[in-house]
Amino acid sequence: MLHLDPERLAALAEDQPTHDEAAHLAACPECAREQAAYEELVAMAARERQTVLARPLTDWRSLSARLTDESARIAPAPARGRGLPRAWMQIAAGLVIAASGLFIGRATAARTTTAAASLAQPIASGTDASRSPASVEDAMALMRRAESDYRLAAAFVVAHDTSMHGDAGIDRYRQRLAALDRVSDAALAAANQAPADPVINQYLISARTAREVTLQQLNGSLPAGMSLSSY
Amino acid sequence: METDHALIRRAIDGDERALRQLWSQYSPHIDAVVRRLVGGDPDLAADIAQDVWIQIFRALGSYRGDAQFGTWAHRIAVNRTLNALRKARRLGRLEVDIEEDSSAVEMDSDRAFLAASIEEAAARLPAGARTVFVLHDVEGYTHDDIARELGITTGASKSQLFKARARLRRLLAHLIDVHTPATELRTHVAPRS
Repeated sequence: MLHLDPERLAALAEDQPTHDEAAHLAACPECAREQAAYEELVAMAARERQTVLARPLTDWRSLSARLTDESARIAPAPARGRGLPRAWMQIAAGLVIAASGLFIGRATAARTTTAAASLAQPIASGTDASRSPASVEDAMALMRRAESDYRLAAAFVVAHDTSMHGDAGIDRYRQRLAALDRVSDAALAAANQAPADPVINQYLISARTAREVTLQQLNGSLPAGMSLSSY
Repeated sequence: METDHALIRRAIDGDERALRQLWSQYSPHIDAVVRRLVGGDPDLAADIAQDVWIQIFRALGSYRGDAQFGTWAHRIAVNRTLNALRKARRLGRLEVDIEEDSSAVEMDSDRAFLAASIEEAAARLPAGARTVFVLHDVEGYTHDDIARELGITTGASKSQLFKARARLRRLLAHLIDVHTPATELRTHVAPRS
């Protein structure tokens, strides 16, 4: 007996058979089974959509690093940033802060000595902080340098300052976090008004960086085994 | 529990934890659709998946909430993956790549290869046929949608789909025939009048 072509049977999983095909399917158990097999294949494919168990293709650390890299290219340059959507500017700012947190975490874990050594240099020279910027670019570079110095200093404090451990320290960190939240909200509102403004973005980044650092300090002063992931 | 809307609001405001939560919540589904469309190239799939997430985060501000976030993100994943495959020229010869396969060789190799899943079997299909199959049978696109998306005719979309199904039926025979007992060698003809 001659049978229906496999591609035609594949089509019949959704098409209506012709009169002759219907007659053949009624008379031929093999073709009827094949038609049922294609219907089962289509059902399997539909179920496949719900199948999501597999090794992840992305990991947050590398995704975050790439986002931060993009945001670092975007945020400091007002001319290029002018056409960017406000939301992306905000996300960019948030991710720069996230990267600061990662950086501080790494610095406190393994490179506190390096951080201390790096800190010593600008403090000893005292020149960068006292001179006036000669141009907007110069001023922006100084701001970025200050931001970087701040992160290094914060890393050092997180690693070495034990004066605020205990309940009194925890209360003070909490007060600071609450205050920084208000500063951060105000900076965010300002960034909403002027999303491409580098100065405003710098304020927002600084406020959020300080918040992140304080959160880590608070974590450091909590009893062993306790940690905060958010506040 | 926080709603998607509130979570997205925080993500748009640059909250890193919210971004991470969105990624964590939806990446299994995004990964799945990217992996299925790309086929058996995990490195390419990983690169594309990362591009998809960058695109999703960039576009967050344009999300209006008309559709579920998952549906919206899924659409971005499909579009971005198809674009990436086009760039990699894996969809360049959509109309001919199945036709050029030798069916004798295909039958022999298919008999030696038993796929453990649809995903694994689909990875054995030429890129064009895999794309049409995944979009239609897995993702639920219509032939009109696929034709528009891939720049082909609806007829070509159907033709690719039926060829893909016919080959998948062989590759997955051991799974399908559990439900519908296998048939012996068959001689085919098309009584279609």
